[in-house]
Formats: sequence, C-alpha cells, structure tokens
Amino acid sequence: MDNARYQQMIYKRIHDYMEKWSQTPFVIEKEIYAFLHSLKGTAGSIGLPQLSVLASEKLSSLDMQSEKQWATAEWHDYLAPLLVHVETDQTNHTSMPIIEPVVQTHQQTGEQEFILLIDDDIVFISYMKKILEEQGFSVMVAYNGKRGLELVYEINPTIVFLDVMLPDKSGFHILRNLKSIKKDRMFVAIISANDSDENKIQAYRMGAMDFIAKPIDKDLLIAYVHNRLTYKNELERSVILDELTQTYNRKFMNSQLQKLIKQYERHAELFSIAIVDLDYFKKVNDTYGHLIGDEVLKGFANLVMTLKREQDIFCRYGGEEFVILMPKTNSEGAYILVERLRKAMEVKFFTANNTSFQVTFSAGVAETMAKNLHPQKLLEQADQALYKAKQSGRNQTIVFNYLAEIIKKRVHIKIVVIDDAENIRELVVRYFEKLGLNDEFDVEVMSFADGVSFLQASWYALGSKYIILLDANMPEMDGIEVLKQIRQQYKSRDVIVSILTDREEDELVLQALENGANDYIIKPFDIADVSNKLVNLINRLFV
Amino acid sequence: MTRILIVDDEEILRMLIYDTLEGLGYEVDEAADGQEALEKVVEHTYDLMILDYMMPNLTGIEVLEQLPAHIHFPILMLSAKSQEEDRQFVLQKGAHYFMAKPFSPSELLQIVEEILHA
Repeated sequence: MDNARYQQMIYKRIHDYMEKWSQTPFVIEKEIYAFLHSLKGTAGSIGLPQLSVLASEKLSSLDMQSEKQWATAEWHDYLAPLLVHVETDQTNHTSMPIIEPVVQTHQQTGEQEFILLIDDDIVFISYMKKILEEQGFSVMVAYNGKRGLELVYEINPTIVFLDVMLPDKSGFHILRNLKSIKKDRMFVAIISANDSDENKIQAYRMGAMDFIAKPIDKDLLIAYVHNRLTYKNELERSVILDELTQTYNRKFMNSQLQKLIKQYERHAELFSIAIVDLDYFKKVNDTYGHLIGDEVLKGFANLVMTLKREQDIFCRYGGEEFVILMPKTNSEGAYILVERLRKAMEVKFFTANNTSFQVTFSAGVAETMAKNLHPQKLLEQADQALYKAKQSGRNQTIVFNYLAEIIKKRVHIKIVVIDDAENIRELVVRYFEKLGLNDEFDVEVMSFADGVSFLQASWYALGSKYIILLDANMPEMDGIEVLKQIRQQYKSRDVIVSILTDREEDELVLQALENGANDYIIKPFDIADVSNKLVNLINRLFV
Repeated sequence: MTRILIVDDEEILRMLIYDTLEGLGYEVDEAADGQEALEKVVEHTYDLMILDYMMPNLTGIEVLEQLPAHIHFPILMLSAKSQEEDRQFVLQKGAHYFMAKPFSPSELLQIVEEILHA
C-alpha cells in the first residue's frame, strides 16, 4: 500500500491549519481538539504512527467542548513537539516546507512561566497585562496584597511586579512576606510612582531585585521581562546541564529517575529507560582527535534533541554514554523511539580532515516493573541489554526482558490452562504464546476444556516445569478433584497450580490451598497481572 | 457485487478505505457526513456501512439512532475513543462491530472480510 499520497495530504492539511490559525488572534480550544482528534485517528492508518501518538498525547489534556481562547504563542508552544516532528519526518518524504521552526523563548524548561502583577491601580494593571500577554506571557493579576500572596503560593510566578502602595497592606510588608516564602528564583520587582532614593533603598534592603518607576515604558517593560527570564533559564540550565552537549547532566538524571519511580509507586505510571552508547567512540578519538570526538558527541546530542518527544529526558551519563528517560512509555514504545534515533544516527555524516565518517550507537532499554523499582536496578538492567546489543554486533537496540532473564536459566516452562470457558483459554494461550515467539523463551502453552481430557492426555514430561491454571468450577470433574489427582501423580516441585475462581469464594480457595494449590486467581482477571504473578511464582519456585 | 458505504468526515481516511476496498473488487460509496449517509441508505442498499463516531453535525451515534427501521445491514463503527467502555457504548447503541482508530489498512480489510463472510 502506497501511503505517500495520503501522507502528503495530511502534511498539507497540517500546514493549512497552521497558516489559517496564525492569521487569527486566537484559536478556540475545541478547534484544536478537533484538529488533533482527526490527526490521531488518521495518521496511524497511513503509516505515521508516531504522529498519531503525539496527537493523542496532546489531545489528552484538552477539553473537546472548551471555548477557551488560545493565543498564537500558546498554541504554537503547545503544538511545537508535533510540528517539529512533522517537519523532521517530512524531510524524508517530500520537500514541502511545513512551518518555520518553532523557537521556544520563555518555555525552555517546559513549565509554564507566570508573571504576577500586584497593584490596586486597575488602569495601570490592565495596561501592563495587555503588553505582556501580547508577548505571549501568562499573566495573573492581584488587586490587593492578600490575594497577591495567595497567588504566589498557587502559581509560583517567575516575576512579581509589586506596587508599594496597596490598600490592605503596604507593598513592603508583602515584600517581607514574599522573602520569607523563599521561593527559588522568583524575581520581585518593585514598581512605584515614588522613585525617591529613600524608597529605592528600602526596596533593595528588603530584598527586591529591581526597582521600576511608574509610569513604565512599554519597551522597557518587555526588555526587562525578557532579560530576567533569560537569566533565570540560564541559571537553571547551568546547574542541570552537561557543559559540552547541553543535555541534562547525570545529577539531574538521577533526580528525575527518582521522581519517575515515585510516580510509578503512587500512580502506577510506568516508564522506560534507555542507555545509549556510541559504538567504537575511542576509535573516533584516536583517529580524529578529541576535538572531533567532542563534535560527534554534540552532533549526536543535537540529533536526539530534535527527534525525541517533549517529555523525554535526555542526559549525558558520562563519556560517550547517554540515558533517555521516557515517562509513560512502555518498553515497546521506548524501543520504537530509540530505533528511530538509531536509524537517524546511522545515516548521519561527520566530517574531519576532509574525510567524512559515520558513528552508530547501541542501546539497551528497560521498563519499570514492580520488581526492579530501584534506580540502580533499572540502570543495571538497561545496561545488561546494552551489553547484549554490543555483543550482538552493535548498532542495535535491545530491550531487557525480565521473563527472559529468568527463563534463560534453561528452564523449560509449560503453561497449561484448564477451563471450560473458551474465551479464557484463548486469552491465556494467545498471551503466553506471544512470549514464546521470542527465541529467548522456552514457553509452551496448552489448553484443555475439562479436567478429564487433561488427566488423560500425556502432558507431563520429566525435566519440564509446569504452571497449571485450573478453573475451579467445571462440569463433570471440578478443579479441586483435578488438583487432587495432579498432586497424587506428579512431583509437586515441578508443577505449580493456580486455581481460577469466579469470585472471592473463601471456602473454595481454602480447599484448593489445602489440596496443594500454590496460588489462586480471581476472575475476571487482567492477563498482565496474571503474567506478573506467574513470574513471581516461577522465580520463587523454579529458579 | 458487494456494496460498502463509508461515512467519515475525514477525507484522507475515506480515500484510504476506498482505495483499500476498491482494489479488492468491492463497490464503495462515500458519505462525508451523517446527513449524507442517512440520505444514501434510503436511496441505495448496502452490504456494510463503515461509520465514523466523531463527526461534526451528526455523530455516528446520532446516525445510528436516526437510521430507518428497515435497515438491517451490518454496521462497523470506527472511533479514536478506544476504551472498553467506548466499545460497549457503541455496540449498545446498535453498531454490530467496532474498530479503534488508528487502524492499518490490512486490519480493516481483515475485519471487513470477517463481517461479510460471517
């Protein structure tokens, strides 16, 4: 199926929308929703899955009925990752330009920056608000000191403009309160019609960063805000960035990893981690020198920065080793992303001494699981996968496989499901056979519709390990009876039995456990949970 | 000849489905919105209707609700809302089959073949 034609059409569509929207002062949120919704549904069908995923992610925080007006800078910033993706992806297909590269001026940290105005002069305050909003800043307003303090807590503004003459409390009083809050890197600028030295001295003494006299000039205001935000960004970046590559540094990576693990524990938000290591990097250094080596590192970092998704956290781990943290991404998604990077790197050329050369990388990916919830453990697993990628010839991505690590110890495992419900049998067979497709595994799946045919079948062979999922309620012979027979005839150490019951039937569960069941599972169940449970059992009993 | 009606406001997707099915010898008819679909089902007979959920003016659900009583061909609903409850809701409202967007052309083909030969 030739998708190029449809892809051209969708790119043109995006282009047309952006152009149309750019010509209006704002876009209504529900229009953005409709645009993304249609993009999500279509892109995936015409060979642009990544675009579909991006659209879907962007969609998730929008309201389909909202009438909220989005200023040009707002929607531009919001859709930036998607547009950048379209632009880079499109170069592979067609030369039609989509959109100017989006420059993120005041949102480099990815968090919304707020400016707070505390002043009782409504005319003045709306004048300032208008100027700042035209520049694309988010502005909040407080008409008195009390509300101003509340807003400082609520929105954590980057810059606070504070009038010293306020109806309820004097601005200086507020300033003292603000300073005692000790918000990190919050700039407080005093604005006052009284620009006497005395007033200024007091302001600076009490911790104001700046003193701006009223009336305030529009250009001065804009220049001031840009200056302070740039300073703040540089300051923030300098402590968390790697100097050479401008990627995040190891320290920042560690803190983010901790954060992701917390989120996993609290909200079960899984994530993946990839360790990426440039192949034969020492050879590059030896052949072309360290300066060129540095250029390669920078070139690689730039490539990842442009291709990764907005939420991915990309860090230099040390030397030629990098880490990518991928929130809300399972190992499959992580694999797709890293492979995309790898393919882009594969075709990139570097030049030195009039010759050009290429550098590839190998990567190991690991996904969070309840069992590896320790930063070191996760890194280790990604590292193991990376090692395997290096061993297997480099220039490839390998996903750490938890089950594989267990079964690698040469245990043949057979999973047997005995249930009169066909859908359950199918579900189990399909899920576990998929694991069997991986050549790392030695998993075989069998299913039986009743206990009698199971007991008559020659299912048992010495040397194999068995996990039997056994339905408790079956016609003819019930699960307990089947269980008794299994335990009478076969070595219990080789056979794990987990009873499937329809609901919490304490009596039945008790009976099952008394007769040698290892575990029980309540229907309806989530097959992924069952899989995790089985992994635990295998681990405890077979390995 | 097997006749299929595609109802989707998304032109690109309509074309994709059209091309996919046309190439296999199906006769394919298109409607760009719910109103057009309701007119077409009165004028022609079909063996299958592929109906998008989210459309402006009339949604796929509203189309289902307004379908004349004598219509009895199968309906495959497409939706980017792919949670189990969305699926259940759609089926409860009278669609016979459900497919989540995005889908690949071969997935579509597979389900269409399944429906037509059921």
